[in-house]
Amino acid sequence: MASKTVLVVDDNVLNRKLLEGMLQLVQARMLFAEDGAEGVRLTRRHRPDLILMDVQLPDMDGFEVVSEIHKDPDLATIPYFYLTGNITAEYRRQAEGQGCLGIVQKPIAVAEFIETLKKILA
Amino acid sequence: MRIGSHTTDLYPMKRDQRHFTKTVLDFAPVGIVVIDAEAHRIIDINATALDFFETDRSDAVGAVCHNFICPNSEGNCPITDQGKRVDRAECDLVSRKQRHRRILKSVVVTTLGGRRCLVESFVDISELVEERRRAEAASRAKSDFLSNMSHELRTPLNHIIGFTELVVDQHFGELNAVQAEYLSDVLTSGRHLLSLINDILDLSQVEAGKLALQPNFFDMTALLTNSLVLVKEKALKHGIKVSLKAPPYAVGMLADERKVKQILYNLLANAVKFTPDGGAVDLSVSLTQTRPEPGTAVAGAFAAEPPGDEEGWILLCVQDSGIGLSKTDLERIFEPFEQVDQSTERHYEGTGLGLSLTRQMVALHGGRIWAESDGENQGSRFYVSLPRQVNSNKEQTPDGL
Repeated sequence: MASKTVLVVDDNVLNRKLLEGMLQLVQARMLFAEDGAEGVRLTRRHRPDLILMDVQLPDMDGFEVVSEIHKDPDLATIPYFYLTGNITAEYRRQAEGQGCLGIVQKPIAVAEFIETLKKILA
Repeated sequence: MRIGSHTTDLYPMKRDQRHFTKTVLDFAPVGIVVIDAEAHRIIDINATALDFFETDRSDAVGAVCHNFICPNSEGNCPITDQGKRVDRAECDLVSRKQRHRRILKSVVVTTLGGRRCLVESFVDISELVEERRRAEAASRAKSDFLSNMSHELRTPLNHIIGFTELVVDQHFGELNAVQAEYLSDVLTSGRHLLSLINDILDLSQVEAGKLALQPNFFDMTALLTNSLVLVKEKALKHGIKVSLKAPPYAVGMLADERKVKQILYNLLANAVKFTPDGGAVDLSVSLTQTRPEPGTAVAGAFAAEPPGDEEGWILLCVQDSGIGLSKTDLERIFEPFEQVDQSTERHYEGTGLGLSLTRQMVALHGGRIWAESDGENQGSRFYVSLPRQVNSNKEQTPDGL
């Protein structure tokens, strides 16, 4: 069975490391981007099966990255989660408009998130 | 004035009356202008108004009022052209020296000497407006700061909790008993720190007036069942029995589901926290047509059949067999930073913010929250009334109490 690829877009090294730890447990192949531009580039190049997108990035916010990715209709079907330390009503509004799987509030509830990942990547 | 006299006639001489009136009008710190309603020209004016207009009587009397007050309303006067009443309205005043001020004015339409007149009185609120602006800017700055801090604080906390959880769950190797225990303690403290941060952020948002309602449709019965699951684990650890008395049917609600969850969680967590081992916590709901009131509210009263309409109220009751509340406690517990006197053995952690926040959230819905207790160690009952359909236009109780 081919394993699934997950792209993590987050500028914080420990955030990436923590997600790496979780993704190891669901046996996913991992790609990492440190900013929005790289996130777009890696998405176009590798077409991941799931994207974990931090909202606060140095060059653009997560919503803009997704808008950019969605310019390609083939990539628009990739499921994704937003991750953020502080969910605001504004974020919720923007996220809902874009059709993401959800916004995950950090700190992430690890066991629960791993279960969710397993279901999505099955 | 003659002492002991019944008469209201303060001025035996008409001349004294005129003198009194003139003195009052001239020296009251309120600008008073009498205006001809047709021509909008000033007929009479008091000394205070002249001060504001920075001119003298000969210039002011006969001038069009809009030269000084509400310059933008010329030809479009709310009173004479739109037939409105102007009572305590803010507007602009421009003096002869082109100095601008914000004033608060009231206007009375009357007839004087056969002429239809407007009697306008106003006070200077420039300082108030400036203070208001400063307060709003400060509030915005504080809100931005807190929003940033929230993100800054949660990021390392995410790492502390996340990495510890991965290791404690032994996904990356077995731990010996001490390692498992110590890391579990790290996790507990990390989670506690998180709840403190959440409380502080919530409370600050409340203070900034930013805690808004986001209503949605949901099933209250399902929400109640799920709420119990959240506290069951902790309750089991202390041998506390948890029970639910809810209808066998769905109860539709239009309310802010997340906040209702928070309200329930707060009350249930408190109940478990303040109940000694082996005790009981019961959650029940009643459905009523009219708003349940303290003293007459009955917990767990619902019909066998679901209610036909979407109107009415629900009454939640969280009852515990715990340490109870004294009369003093009952008065204080909904205040921020207040906590029940902790002279018991189990260490009760907490910030004391929970009930204050809970009350705010109940009030936002137009509901009420109150507590009852038969005394020390006699347990307590916390009641929350909520309308089944929150209407943000409806009058809400000022503080949910």
